This record gives sequence, C-alpha cells and structure tokens, in this order.
Amino acid sequence: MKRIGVFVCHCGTNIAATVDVEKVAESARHLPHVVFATTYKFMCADPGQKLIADAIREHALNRVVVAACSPHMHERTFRKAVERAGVNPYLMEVANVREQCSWVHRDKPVGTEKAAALVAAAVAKVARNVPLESGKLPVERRALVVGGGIAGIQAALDIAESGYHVTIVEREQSVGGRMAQLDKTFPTLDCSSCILTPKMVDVGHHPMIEICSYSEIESVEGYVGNFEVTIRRKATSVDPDVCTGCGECWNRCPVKKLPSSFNMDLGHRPAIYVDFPQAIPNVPVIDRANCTYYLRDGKCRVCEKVCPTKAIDFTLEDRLVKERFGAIVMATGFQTASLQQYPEWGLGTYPDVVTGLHFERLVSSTGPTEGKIKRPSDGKEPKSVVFVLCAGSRDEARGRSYCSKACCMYSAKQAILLREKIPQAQAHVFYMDIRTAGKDYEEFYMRAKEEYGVNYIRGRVAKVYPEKDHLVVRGEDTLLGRPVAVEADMVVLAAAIEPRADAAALAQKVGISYNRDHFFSEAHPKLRPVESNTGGVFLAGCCQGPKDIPETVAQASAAAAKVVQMFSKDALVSEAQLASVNEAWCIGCFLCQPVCPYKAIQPKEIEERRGRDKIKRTVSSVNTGLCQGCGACAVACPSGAMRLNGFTDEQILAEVDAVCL
Amino acid sequence: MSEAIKTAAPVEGEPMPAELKTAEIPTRRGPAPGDPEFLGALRDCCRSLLAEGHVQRIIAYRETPDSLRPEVAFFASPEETGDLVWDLFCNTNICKYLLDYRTFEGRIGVVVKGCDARGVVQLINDMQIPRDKVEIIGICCPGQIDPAKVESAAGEAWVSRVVAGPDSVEIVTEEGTEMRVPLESVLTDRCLSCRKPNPPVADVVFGEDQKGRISDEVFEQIAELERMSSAERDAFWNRHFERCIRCFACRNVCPACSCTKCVFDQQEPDWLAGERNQANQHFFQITRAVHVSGRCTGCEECDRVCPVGIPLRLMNKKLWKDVKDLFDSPLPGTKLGVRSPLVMWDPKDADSFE
Ligand SMILES: Cc1cc2nc3c(=O)[nH]c(=O)nc-3n(C[C@H](O)[C@H](O)[C@H](O)COP(=O)(O)OP(=O)(O)OC[C@H]3O[C@@H](n4cnc5c(N)ncnc54)[C@H](O)[C@@H]3O)c2cc1C
Ligand code: SF4
Ligand code: SF4
Ligand code: SF4
Ligand code: SF4
Ligand code: SF4
Repeated sequence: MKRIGVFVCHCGTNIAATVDVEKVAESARHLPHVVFATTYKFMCADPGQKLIADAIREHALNRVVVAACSPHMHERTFRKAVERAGVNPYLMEVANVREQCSWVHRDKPVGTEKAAALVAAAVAKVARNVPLESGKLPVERRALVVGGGIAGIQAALDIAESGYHVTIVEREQSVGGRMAQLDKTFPTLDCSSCILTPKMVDVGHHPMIEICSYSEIESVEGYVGNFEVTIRRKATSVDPDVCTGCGECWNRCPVKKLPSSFNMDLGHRPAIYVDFPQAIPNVPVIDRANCTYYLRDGKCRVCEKVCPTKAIDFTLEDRLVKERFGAIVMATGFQTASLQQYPEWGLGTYPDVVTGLHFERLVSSTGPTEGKIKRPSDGKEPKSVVFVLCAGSRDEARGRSYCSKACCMYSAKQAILLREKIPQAQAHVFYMDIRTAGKDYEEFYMRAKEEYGVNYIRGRVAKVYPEKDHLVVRGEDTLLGRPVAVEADMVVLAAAIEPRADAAALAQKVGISYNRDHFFSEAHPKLRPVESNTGGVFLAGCCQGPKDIPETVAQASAAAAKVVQMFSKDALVSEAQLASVNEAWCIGCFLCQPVCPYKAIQPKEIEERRGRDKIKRTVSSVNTGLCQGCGACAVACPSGAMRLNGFTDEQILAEVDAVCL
Repeated sequence: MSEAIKTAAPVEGEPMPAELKTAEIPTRRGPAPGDPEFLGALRDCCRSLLAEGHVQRIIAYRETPDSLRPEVAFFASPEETGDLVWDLFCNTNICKYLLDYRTFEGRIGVVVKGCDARGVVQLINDMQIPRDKVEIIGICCPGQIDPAKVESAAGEAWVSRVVAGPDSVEIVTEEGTEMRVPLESVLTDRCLSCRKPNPPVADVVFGEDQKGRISDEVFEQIAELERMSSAERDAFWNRHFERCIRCFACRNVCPACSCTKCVFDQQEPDWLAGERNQANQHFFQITRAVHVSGRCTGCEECDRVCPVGIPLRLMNKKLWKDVKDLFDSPLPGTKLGVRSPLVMWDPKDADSFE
C-alpha cells in the first residue's frame, strides 16, 4: 500500500505570499495515495523536519512529497530527514514551488493553481519511485594539485599537513606562479617573495609533497576517489638526483639572450635556466628549442663540461608516468589578456606601453632593472606614468564582460610604488569605477590618493600615441565632461585577468566544466564554491575566477579541507540515481557509449536462452563508480534499454500526465 | 573463383575503431549487369564462396513466376545457386535480413546494390554484426525498375517480361506485343535521384562505378516545405500522417532500426497509445524519423514499402540535411567505423544554442 504524505512549506512569505499553501495542501489530500497533507512555516528548519518525521510515524507514511524550494537547495536535507524516520531517501520528492512558482508569479490564484499542479506531478512520480541504495567506493588517499602558484602551494601544504600525500604538477621549471613575479603586495605592501619563498621552501622539503615541475597532465581517467592520471614529465636534460643547483651551468651557458618569460620578456635568460634565483626545485632545465647542442647536432656541451656533479644528460626523454589519486585540486591560475582587440592602446606597438605584470617586474629588485623603474624603450626613468584600469575587462562588446577584481588595487599599489621610488614622478590613473571591497582596501586607495598624490581621472582611454620622446594618452574625463590628454613616459595597462590559454583543453581532459570565458565552473556559486561539478575535483585560485592573493589562499585552504574531508572517510558513498541497463532490450548498439561524458559505459557479454539454445551476446553495462547519473545515455538509447534510476520514463511520464491530463 | 573476376584495389573507407577492425580483404571486380557474362559470373562467385567454405549462407534474390518481382532467397549450398538472379527488379533492400543471423555461427554473403550496401555498413557501424562475418558482394547499380511503372506503361495488358537496355526498356506483353519506353520513365523514384549507386564497402564488386543520377528533386521539395508557414506544413503532414495504418513496415525494413524491443512495441510505458488520433499519428512519425536521424542511410526503402504512400523520404532527407549542415559528417553507411554524429561529442561541434 502506498501511503503518501505531502508537506507544503511557506518559506516565511517567500512561498506563502503568492501561493495559498493551505489550498495546495487541501488539493493534495484528494490525490491518489495521499493520506496526509499539511503546511508549515519553514519545513527545512528543525521543527519542520520533526513534523515530517512525526507524520511518517503517525500516519505510517511510506512516501513523502515536500513542496518547497528548489531541490538544489534542500533535497539532501529532506532525504536525510525521511531516512532518519525509516523511509528510503529516494521515496521522497521535492516539488519546487518557490523558484519555479512563487518567485515567478505575482497573481496568487495563478501561483496557487501552478503549485497544486507541481505537487500533483511530484505525487504521481513518488508513487512510482522505488527504493534506491547507494554503493560504496574505495578512496585512494593521495591528492593531485595541478598548478604550483600560491593556490596550489597552499592547497598542497594544507593537505600534506593533514597527513596525506600530495603531488604538484607544475608546467614551468619552478613553482611560485604569478605571485613570484610580483614585487610588493597590497594592502600591506609586504614583499611578495618574502612571504612566498618560505612557503615554496616548505613544499620543496615536505616529506609528503612531491613536486613534478616542468610537467603537464596528459590524461585523466577514473572517477572520484580513484583517478588514474598520466603525467608528462618533460625532458629537462638534467638529472635532479645529482644536480646541486650550484649554478655553474646557467652562469656559463654561451646562449645568454633568450627572452625570460618570468621577466615578461623584459630580461634575458640562458638556454639552461631556472625561472628565478629562489626557484623550487632548484634544478635547471634546458630549453631544447634554443640550446646549441640540440640545434647543431651535439655542439657546445659547455654546461656538461662545467657541471661539477655530471648532472647534465642530453639523452633524457619525456616520460609518461601513471599515478593514482583520490582527489584533484585544479590551481592553474591566470594569464593577462594580450589586448590584441585594442590596437588603440598600442600594447606591442610602443615599447613603453606595458601591462601590470611587466610593471611588477620593473619595480622588483629581482627584475631585469634590479628594481629601478626604467622605461623599456630607452631605459630612462619615467617622470609621468599613466595607469589604465579595466584594460579589456568589463567590455562585453569586445569579449569580456567581467571585472578582473585585482586591478584597482594593484594599480593603486603600483602608483604608490612609483611615487615611493621616484618621488618627483607623476602617477595618473584612468578608471571607470574604483572597487575596493576588502578589508583595509578602501584605506589603501585613499592613501594612494591623499598621501601619495596619485591623480585619478574617471574615464576611458580612447587612444595612446607617441609624440617626440613620450606618449600621449587621450581620453575623456567624464566627471568634468571634457576630453583630456596626458603626457606620459610610460603607460601601464591593467590587462584583464583571464584563464590560461589551455584552460578549456585541460578542463576537457579532466572532465570538468568551464564558463564562456573558460574559467572553471564551481558546483554552486554560493554553497559549493570550491567544488567542480565532477566528484573529487576541486578548484582553487584564479583558474576559477579573478581574485587576489588573500582570496586565493582562502579558497585553496577550503579546497584542501574538502580533500581532507574526503580522505578522512573509510569509503565514499556512491550516487544512487545512476544509469542501468535493461539487458533484455539492449541490442549492444552502443549509441549510449560515446555520449557518456564520464566514460562509464562498457560492453559486457551475457548468456541468454533462445528457444533451446544458449547464446552469447554483447550488451551495455554501466560502471557505477564512474557514472554520475547525468542521463545522457538514457536519451541516446533508441529503445529505452538504458534508464536512469530515479528518472525513469514511467516516472517522468507520470509527472507529465499529472500536469497535462 | 570465376575467371571473369579480377583483383582490384581495396575499396576506400575510414580506419575502423578497434572493435570493428578486420583484416582488409582485397576487392575483386566482376562484369557489369548488362554484360552477357554477368549473371554467370555472379552465380559462380556465390557458388565458390559457399563451396570453399568462405560463407555458410548467401542472401540474394531468386526468380519467381512474376518476372517483375524476384524474391529474396537464402542459399545454403553451392547447388542452390543455379536459381540465383540479379536484374533490374531487385528492389528489396535485403540488408536487414542480416539481423536474423546475429547469432548464426558462420559467415554470410549478401548481394547488395549501393543503397543496400550502405545498410550493411550501417548495421556494422551500429555494432549489429561484425564486419568480418559478412562477405559483401556488391553490384554497381544501374538503377532499378519500378514494376508498377512498367505495368502502367503496359496499360491493360499483362507484362510477361522486360528486357532492359542501357537507355530504354522493351516491355513484352503476354500477347506478344513489344513496346519500348525510355529507361528513366520506369525507374523507381529513389533511383531517379540516387547519387551513390556504388557499394561504398565491398569484398567483391560487379561492374564499373556508376555515375548515378543527380536530381535535386527531393531537396527542392524540402525547400518548398521549409518555405511553408507552420500551419501549412502541419496541414501537409497531417494529410499524410492520418493515413498511416501503423503497419510498421517502414521500421521493419530500416537498416537503422535494429532494436529488439522497439519503443512502439513497449507496454510500460506505452509510448504509442493505440488510439488513432492526430497526436499519436504525429508522435509515431516524428519519433521514428528522429530515432533514425544521423543513421538513416537514405536508402528510401521505408518510402518504397509504405502501403499508403507516405513520403517518408522527405522527413528523412530533411533531418539528414540538418545533421550534415551541423556536423559535416559523411552520409551514414558510406564509411566503416563512423558513429552517428548525434551521439558523438566534439568540442568543434556547431553550437547553435549560444
Ligand atoms: C599585475 C598584477 C599584480 C597583482 N598584485 C597583487 C597584489 O599586490 N596583492 C594581491 O593580493 N594580489 C595581486 N595580484 C593577484 C595575484 O597575482 C593572484 O591572486 C594570484 O597570483 C593567483 O594565484 P594562482 O595560484 O591562482 O595562479 P598563478 O599564480 O597563475 O599560478 C598558477 C600556476 O599554475 C601553473 N600552470 C598553469 N597551467 C598549468 C597546466 N596546464 N599544467 C601545470 N601547471 C600549470 C602555472 O605555471 C603557475 O605556476 C596581482 C595580479 C596581477 C596581474
Ligand atoms: S547517466 Fe549514462 S551518460 Fe551519464 S554518467 Fe551515467 S552512464 Fe554516463
Ligand atoms: S543501452 Fe541502448 S544505446 Fe546502449 S547499447 Fe543498449 S540498446 Fe544501444
Ligand atoms: S523506431 Fe526507434 S526504437 Fe523502434 S526500432 Fe527504430 S530506432 Fe529502435
Ligand atoms: S529511414 Fe528509410 S531511408 Fe533511412 S535507412 Fe531507414 S529505410 Fe532507409
Ligand atoms: S510503412 Fe507507412 S503506413 Fe506503415 S507504419 Fe510506416 S508510415 Fe505508417
């Protein structure tokens, strides 16, 4: 006997203002199998949940419908509530009468009628639900961190400190990421390296952390708790077990004038190099594309000759290493936009037009100018610098609608640094709005204006062009309502923060989603901000969206906490609403196989009776560890052999019938 | 093997995915239909395939008392192949019979035209039969004759036989009168617009590649339908759909319909209710067309067998046109190892939703 209870939530006035909840409960009482219906102010609150539990006992309910907010919000809450009262959690359905009803209607009778229909649909469905059981999945208690910027470093340290092994895969020679390129950091102006280097040393020495630098992700297979990752360890030409990092090789390499990407191409590096003096690991790599040995069939060999420990090995090759991990933290960070769509600003045309990252290298004492601000064209000390905010950000028409978040603050910082280093220099900042949400941020900005006399001009820059030995920045002062032209020795564009060029390709490899700007997508913007949509893959830092260092570090620690939480369990509970195959109907066409984004579908051989004969045939089967219950396969299957438990055709049709018939 | 058959280069095709892979069998060529040696060579070929144990069954055609309507026949021994025929009345697409041999232990030969061969390839690509289980005996098809068109050309008289030439046919009636009509006037509709008369994949091929007939008639009709208002289009299809008697012949002959439990036969849920109202008629038609889209080989067998003359080709071809425009994929059944573009992910896919 099916005995269904219906619980209609007021959600304060969120629902009750546009839906007559009493009427909805009353109409539910007349639906087939419904033996009890009531309303309550906040169903999700403790007393609301207790009300459900009590009703289950009192009225011997074996199925429950909760008419409330979106199942995204509280489906789990109510599943747990009914489970505690002895009902299988999958015999509970949520009717979304808030987001899909009360919030989108103004007219109460209309809202009430629709809510009643949604409840009828949920009742029709729950009557056809069957109990589902979750399985158990083992967990490999090792974490992979992709990207060794401050986000990856922080996440790795937190996970390792909790006692679990971590591998950091970093593409460059050294970990450190963008933060290593910065000079001082807002809002406290402490030196970036001084706070970063100790952390880099910690990851370098931590017994539970392995750094795979100069490496990339080749492929990711498997599923939450059981990923199988192939890492490409690019050939470094240096044996890390022997190298002591003495520096003989990179000091003596005759190829000296290669652009240093760490210095934003403003400085040079040899063919055998470390990214910067504090590099971790402190083992150089040979840039084979530019090394004389590789370009001219074995000539040169200077590094090999000077190396006191014989660490150079020109014959090393790329290695593919396969490893198992239980969780993955994505921390691949950002790059700044090339601004090709903005020829009017002259980035790439005029050498003295640079980006914020270039400026960081020009003020940094480890940079190409040893911290003396010199303009790139002729090395002269600039007497006037124009900073342009929102360079490529907040411009829907040319591709990026979002705010890059850190630019207001770092440009204020850079203006302050300019005024500190060259007190007689003028600093002008063109801005659209100044956004200083953050602790001590507004105060920092006010200091730039008041204490350091930075000149803020509200308006967009229309054009930058050279005149004599300087540049002219033309724009409009929108507060004064008139055009302005400012002479500048240097222009610093706060170029938009965007994901790494390969972010989308990497996301596809790992199997996570990304937004239209290619930032990795979080599972829920508010409630699950550090989880991706794929179980076991977490997000930290600028790869998920623009942010500054404090936010990056906070997110990295949060991601680490999620990993540790996962590792602290004996086994993972697998999803119960998974695909399953009706083998009798399946014809083994495998139209379902390529649509599965989680590679969960495999062929399987079964034996069957055909009359008096036994035959063997191949049918589809679902790996319950891999399946995420997305339902794509069930749609692709022509004959309906593939079904998604909890969303079977019968259940969906019953809902449709309840609404339409 | 007959002397007339000489070895030629293998027929082109995509590399197959691992599960479909089979040893490349070199394609051999035999004489063309119309050549006096043709039928003898075809029979010899089939006979030796059976005799030498390369195949255990051959699906082909056999004469019947009605010379315009040979029947599909299954040959199990070399002796039986004396009855085997292939002429311009082999309209039936026989590829679907392969499904009866899904669990047959042994190899099966099939004698196929271009359109039938695509069906065989589609069954292979839909993993209904492994490539190495089928010996594809292909014929470059000069076009098939519609018996109904011959009969109406003959008027009241009974047709006793038809002698086909390259451009015209001679119709001989029971009374012995002879009349000559242009070949095009009696060809089937589908052959009149057939662009791919040659088997795309085969182990033996008879005849040299045919050019086919490039008529845009179907696509012109589709363009006309696209220009209609939705009300006009609805009325157009309604006129056709309401005649459907749900005999399911269209599905049963279709090489893309290989389900053992078709949705239209299911009781729980009963997708297709028995009542013949407009909603149900439309539901059936649209569902069938969508299920085969991306896998429909354009053989037009469904259109041919429909007893009430519903122009199913228009629906199938329209869907094919859309799939091709969106995904730029080859016509289903023309390449081994190609899955329906509708079940494949590719980051480069057209994304018309944005
Ligand atoms: C000019 C400028 C000045 C700034 N100044 C400040 C400041 O003063 N204060 C502040 O709080 N914030 C500042 N920021 C913001 C700060 O730089 C970022 O918040 C922070 O660097 C983000 O760290 P991350 O680890 O997420 O990314 P990143 O630092 O970009 O690190 C990502 C790492 O991942 C690696 N990687 C990328 N792709 C792959 C791949 N496919 N495989 C393997 N490894 C990969 C990269 O090599 C890199 O090491 C500034 C930003 C800019 C642009
Ligand atoms: S529901 Fe189907 S397509 Fe989705 S993950 Fe599971 S098996 Fe794959
Ligand atoms: S489940 Fe459906 S789509 Fe998958 S192999 Fe079976 S019949 Fe084909
Ligand atoms: S109509 Fe659909 S379900 Fe029926 S046989 Fe064809 S593909 Fe299968
Ligand atoms: S739908 Fe019709 S034209 Fe298409 S493959 Fe099937 S029978 Fe041939
Ligand atoms: S062959 Fe024609 S009448 Fe029969 S089911 Fe198909 S469309 Fe309907």
